[in-house]
Amino acid sequence: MTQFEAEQFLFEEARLLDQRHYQQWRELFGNDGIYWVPVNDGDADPQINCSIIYAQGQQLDDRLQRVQSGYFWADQPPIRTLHTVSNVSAQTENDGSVEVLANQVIYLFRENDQRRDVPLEILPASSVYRVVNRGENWGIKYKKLLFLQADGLMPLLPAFI
Amino acid sequence: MNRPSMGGLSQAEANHTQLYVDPEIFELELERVFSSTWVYVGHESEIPQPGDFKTTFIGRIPVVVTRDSAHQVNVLVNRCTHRGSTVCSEEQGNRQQFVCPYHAWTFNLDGELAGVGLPSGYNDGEIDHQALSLQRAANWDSYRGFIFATMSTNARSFEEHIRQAKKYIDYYCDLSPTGQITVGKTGIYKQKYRGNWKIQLEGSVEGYHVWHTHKSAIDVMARDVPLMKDYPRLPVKAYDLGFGHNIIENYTLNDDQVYQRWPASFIETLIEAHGKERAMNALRHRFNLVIFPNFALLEYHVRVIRPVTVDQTEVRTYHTSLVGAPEEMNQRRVREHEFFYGPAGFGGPDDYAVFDRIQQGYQASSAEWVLFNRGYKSEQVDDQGIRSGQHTQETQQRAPYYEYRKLMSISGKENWLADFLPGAGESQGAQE
Repeated sequence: MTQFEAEQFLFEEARLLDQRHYQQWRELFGNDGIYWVPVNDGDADPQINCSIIYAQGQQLDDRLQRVQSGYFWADQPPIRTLHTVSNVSAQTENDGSVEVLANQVIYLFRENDQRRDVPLEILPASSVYRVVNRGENWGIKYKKLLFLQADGLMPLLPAFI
Repeated sequence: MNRPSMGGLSQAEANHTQLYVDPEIFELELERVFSSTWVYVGHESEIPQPGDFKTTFIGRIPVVVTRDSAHQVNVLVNRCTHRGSTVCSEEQGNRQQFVCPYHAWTFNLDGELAGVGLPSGYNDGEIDHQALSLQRAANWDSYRGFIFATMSTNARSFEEHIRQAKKYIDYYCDLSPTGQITVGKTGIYKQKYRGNWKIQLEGSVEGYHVWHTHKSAIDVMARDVPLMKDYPRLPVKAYDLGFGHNIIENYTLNDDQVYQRWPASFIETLIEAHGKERAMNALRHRFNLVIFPNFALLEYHVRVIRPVTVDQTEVRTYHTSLVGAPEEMNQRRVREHEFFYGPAGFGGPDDYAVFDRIQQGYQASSAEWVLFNRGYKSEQVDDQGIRSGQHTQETQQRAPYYEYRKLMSISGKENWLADFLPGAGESQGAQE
């Protein structure tokens, strides 16, 4: 995976999230991909400590189902996102997988809200990906998204971010 | 409609919306509730070693909770006694002294003033070290590690205050084979909603909303626990424990169900550790407990409610871990907690979205009442004065306001509500 390919891969992933193509985004993870959003401390062991999200397989499907359930009140009206991805670096490991590092600034905004004064939320984050070849396409074996404010006040989040 | 006087704002069956939107009432609450009664400030597991500290708030008053070199807990007001800067700038840490950033006034872990900057500029008699210690909470006490403090010398004794809640705290801690838990070591969610603090107080024991607000979570939970589908029909109750405290039962298992719910090896371990009765009680009872005004204990966490402004509230969710329990059990407690709570959980965010909308709705000054009359007429009162009702009724939402009215000096007798709810207050009156 070249630097260019790594960047294009992250841009495409961000596009799927921002356009709420969650089913396609979820497919990047296959059955074994881990999606981790830590709380408080990015170095904490997620088997011992709580996370904002620690999900794979069925748990990702459950999130998809929640988005479609009509009972995701925190997402009514829907939280729109915009990801800006930068500082990308990619390193191919011996097993052919690629570790990709990137910074992200994620904007959240709830359009069409009755309240009319919903603040724009700005969430800078660092991210680590383990990208693997899943047949025709690249897929995600591991995604860790660490918010700069992981130990501070967090706004309500969409199902996937 | 008439604008009710303060006297009628809180009734047994309803509160006036003004209690949730009026900044002057909020200021009164800080003084008459948060500076008058016992307020939860932390758990001893957060400050195990000498020098450990955590900062928190009693209402709006910033405090630092320390463990000093004699292993004693201190609850100190985080304000330099000279010109007022906070003396501790962090949420938690370990330190031998607190040094004010302005003029180097230096305080020991017990609040004593150890020294000041450039002391020779003070003449004899200008500085009284003893009188200039950091202000202390008027009293603090703890039960099974949960530390409460009060700014008032007139608060009732802690023993009396906590008595009815003790057995539930025991059930909670006894699920640990060592009887010890940690609070917040395994994760803290830090969130805020745009609504009054009392909405979360009421919402921490809310049995009525679960089947609807949390349908997307229950659909998933019911895969493993089919019982959840029948939540509104479970034979469980909610109780008013007095002094504003209350609990809602989530489930209460008989012996057979305990053996279905928990691995036999874990049950044996607990019986060995605590004896059969204590162990079975810990395994049997699951509940949400509210200790008025800012503390709730839920299956996997301690919830701390902090009033910020009349329409802004911070809520912290401190995950609890059972010291000495099998690793897989604590791991399951992590996964199940984060499934529901936190900014991207399956349940908690929906509550905050609703709380936010409640505060928006409260802007309708034309609609006056917030109702808690569900199950009022069928409410039971036992010989100790403990009120109870079915868990989806509103005994537990009414509970805080008996204490609230006392502290706020609101008489519930002027019955403005009668125009709105025919028969309001007739069945039991406002039992003050």
